[in-house]
Amino acid sequence: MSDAVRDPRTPECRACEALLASYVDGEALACDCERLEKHLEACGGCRDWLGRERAAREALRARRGALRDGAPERLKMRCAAYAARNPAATDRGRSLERAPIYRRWVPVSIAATVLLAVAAVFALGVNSKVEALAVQATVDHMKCSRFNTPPGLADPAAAARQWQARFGWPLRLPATAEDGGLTLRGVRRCALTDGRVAHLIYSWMGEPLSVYVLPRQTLGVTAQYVRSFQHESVMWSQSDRTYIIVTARPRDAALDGVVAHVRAARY
Amino acid sequence: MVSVRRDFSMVFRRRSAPGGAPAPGADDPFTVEALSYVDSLYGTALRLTRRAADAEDLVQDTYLKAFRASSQFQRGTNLKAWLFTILHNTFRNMRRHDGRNPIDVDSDVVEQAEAAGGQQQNPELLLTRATLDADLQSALDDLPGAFRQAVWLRDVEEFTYAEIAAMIDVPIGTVMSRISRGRRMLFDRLSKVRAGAA
Repeated sequence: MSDAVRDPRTPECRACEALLASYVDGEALACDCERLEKHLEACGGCRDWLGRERAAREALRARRGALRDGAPERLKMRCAAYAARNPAATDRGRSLERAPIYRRWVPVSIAATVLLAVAAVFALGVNSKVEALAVQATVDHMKCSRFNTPPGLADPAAAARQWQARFGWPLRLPATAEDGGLTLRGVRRCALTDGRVAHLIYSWMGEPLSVYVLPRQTLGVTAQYVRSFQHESVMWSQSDRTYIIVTARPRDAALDGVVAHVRAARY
Repeated sequence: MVSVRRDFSMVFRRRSAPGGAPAPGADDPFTVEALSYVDSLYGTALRLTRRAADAEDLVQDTYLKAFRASSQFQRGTNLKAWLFTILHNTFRNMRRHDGRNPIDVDSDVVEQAEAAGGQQQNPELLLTRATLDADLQSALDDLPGAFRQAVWLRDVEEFTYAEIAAMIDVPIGTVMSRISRGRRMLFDRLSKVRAGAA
């Protein structure tokens, strides 16, 4: 019998209804059980409620496993990456006292880095487009390599698809994550702009290396090297794209090799 | 001016096959235990949002907040319940931003639904026979949000009444009442499905 059809219920029915869940779950107090059982003997309506509730409970508990949808693998990996990227969580087991202090310093360190970049533009004579771009890209690279580097390999095909779908212009990524000595870790929208610059996060010779791709030609074809904040930036335009490479390693033949590789790959 | 914005929409996959080495830094006991609840959190998020993409966002936000606030977790207390509390708070905030009521509690709808679903059948006989998982899933999804949430947390995730009350921020008596009525509504919906199939 449905709840609505049974109205109006007696005050005793209402009192017993409040006890039904705990009674069915075996968690009611002994005195409540006694009162409820006495009422159930006399009330068919409440016995019906009890039977329906118990049957639904058993059906749910018997099929718990089937009802639970497993989280997608990509979600598990993203959540694990949050833990890996958040020293406050991973350091917890080692030093409980250190975590809050560390967390306070993270935003401060980001703000300080940005401030340094702005100061460099205005106070250190960095006033050309090339130098300003180099400073901004270096700041973003320093921030990302510290806080946002994913632990695994990126899937270039999935990254390219997602990029095209979200931002409307194609990224021409290599077929595999390991390519030309570079290991693709992730693709993200750059903090510099709103989806207009793709930030390819790589590992290269044990160091983070960033390749920024702008979907327009803003510089000359010749590669220009700029050193700022102990990082090397290399930038050039090619066809309809502008590329900026940032790494902490100084300029050498190996870095020139990376530039040549990216030029040939035309991301 | 450089704007510093976080974007977590990275596309990546694990270096090793599933079951391989965990991500770097993810071997801390707090992290390992927290990540072991991802399936439960996702299942619950799906029941709340009813959309896979929204459920993934909700679980990601939950972990992000949990790892950031890990120092606030009291050791020795229930980590799973703590994570579920964050999940529900995050869900409530998401819905508030959307201008939607987080959980629908409409007693008229409930009464009508129960009246429409009432069947004079032997309950034990009805459900002890094989109920299809899909029917159960669909009957559960058909419950009004507040009742679905209470029944799910109690019978699938096995939280105590007190834990559920703290999680969804309502008195224990209300939790017990929602569980009780939610179960009966579920029974009525399943009866209807089975009557239709017979």
